[in-house]
Formats: sequence, structure tokens, C-alpha cells
Amino acid sequence: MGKSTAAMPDIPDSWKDSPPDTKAEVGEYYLPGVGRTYLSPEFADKVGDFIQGAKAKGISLQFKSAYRDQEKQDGLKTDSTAITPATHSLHSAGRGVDIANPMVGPTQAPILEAAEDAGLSWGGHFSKPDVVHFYSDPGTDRRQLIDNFSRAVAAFRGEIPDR
Amino acid sequence: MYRFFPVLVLCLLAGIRGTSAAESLAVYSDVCINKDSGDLNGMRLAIFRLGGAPYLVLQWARSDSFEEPELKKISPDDLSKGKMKFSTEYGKQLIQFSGTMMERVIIGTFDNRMFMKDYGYKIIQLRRVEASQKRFGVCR
Repeated sequence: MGKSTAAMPDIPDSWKDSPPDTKAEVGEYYLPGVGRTYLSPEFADKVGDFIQGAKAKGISLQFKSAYRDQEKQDGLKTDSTAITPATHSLHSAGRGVDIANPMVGPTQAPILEAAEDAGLSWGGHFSKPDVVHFYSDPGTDRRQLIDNFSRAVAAFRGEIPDR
Repeated sequence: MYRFFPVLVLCLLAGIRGTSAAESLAVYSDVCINKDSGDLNGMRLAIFRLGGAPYLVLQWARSDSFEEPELKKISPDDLSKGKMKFSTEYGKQLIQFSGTMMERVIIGTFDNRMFMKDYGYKIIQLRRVEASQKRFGVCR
């Protein structure tokens, strides 16, 4: 983990002068349980440390979900009164993963410790706890973060040449 | 007479299917989308009768999908009194749900404080939903 399984495309010149919160980076990674997925490289490094840290504690992490494109995320959504939670998910910014390991009993503490050591935040602290969710929030505008990442994924896949 | 036999069988089958769907299946759920993570959270119960005996299917929603369903037999006595009791595994422990079942809602709790805390429950309220529900609201 931590290394991209595919080469990064050349970054267009226009991106080099972008302020940090608009810079979008993407890498393709393999996560056990999920397979190939797209993540922010900075976040992927943390997930790599998370996997290694858990392994050192005797836990083999398995994942259930990582990057979700907007179409898939929107598919979870419901009525028109929803406050568009789907458009604010860090899964769509390549900065959120869900583990498949049971987050109960004696396995919970070492998993949380490994996540904290890796610099990941835990969804168990949300107002509606989500115990399988781990993420890294850079604190920048979420909508822009998702837009930039979606664009970077599309460019990575060769769907659009560049901006 | 035999010319009408297939038509008769089809009518009977359609009647049975319609009856069982209308009278013996009820689905209750609190599955919703977590506004912070974008994930599905919650549980749903499908209650039905098979050969006169009541059963339920319990299914947890986690991440972007539902877990494998668990089939449980429930007490006809409890059910007739509007009570709902069943056990499920939480880690390596069995935890028991006890609640009251009404036409539109099931209200109850699991007897494990750690579970209730981990999942952010003070009390569990499962509302009656369409069996075909595929889209979900935002967790409150």
C-alpha cells in the first residue's frame, strides 16, 4: 500500500499554480476486500499506515468501501428534502474508507489505536456514529474537494484529457 | 373442462401470491444515510409467516450496502401481544432486542449498553416501510 499501482498522468500546467485547496491528486490503489480503487495519495499513505499498524497488532484489515463516484453516492440518496449528504461524502473525494472488520469487543480498541497512529479520524464520533468509517478531512470546501477529485479521477481514467 | 385447468391454476397462484404479500409481510426499518459519512446506517426487519409460524429477517445496513440477512423464528405468543424479542450476535456475544410492535412502528432496545452507545441509539424506532424500499432518508 502507499504506492500507486498505475502511473500518475502529467499534471496540466494550469494545475501547478492552483492554490492548495483546489489541487486535486489521485492514485489507483488496491485495498483488501475492495480491490482497485481511487484515493488521494496523501490519504492512501495514511490508510497504508493504518493497515500496517493493525497488522502489527494481529489484525488483518479488510475493507468494504472506498472511493464512490458521484453517481453511486447519489444512488444512496432518497427524497428531495434530503440535505444532500451524498454530495458531501469524503468517499467521493478519495478520503474515506469503510472497514469490513467487526468493530466490537476486544478488536475495536487496537483498530482505533492503529487508525489514530496513522492520522485517520473515526466516524464513531459523528453525531450519528458510523463505526466502520475512517477518513481524513483537510477542512477545505467539501464540494470543491469532491469536484476536483472527480475531475482528477476522470482524467486519470482517460475520460477527459485535462481541464 | 380440462381446457380451463391451466387458467384455473394461474388464477389460484395469483390469488395466493397476492394474499401472502398483503397479509403476512411487514417491513420495519430505520435505515438512513449518515450525513457526515455518506454511508448507509441502521437495520431493517421483515416479519412474515411461514406455515402459520412467524419469522423475521434482520438485516444491517453498513457502508454502501446491506449485510447478509439473518433469519430468526419469533414467538407467536409474544407477537400476538405486540411484543418483539429476538437475539443476534454482536462480536462474540448474543444481544437481545426487546420491543413493542405496532402497526406503523416498532420501538425497543438491545440489552447491551456498549452496542447502543456505539451505534448512537438511545431507543430504537423502526418505522413501517414498503418492502420494495430502495432509497433512504438522512439520519436525524
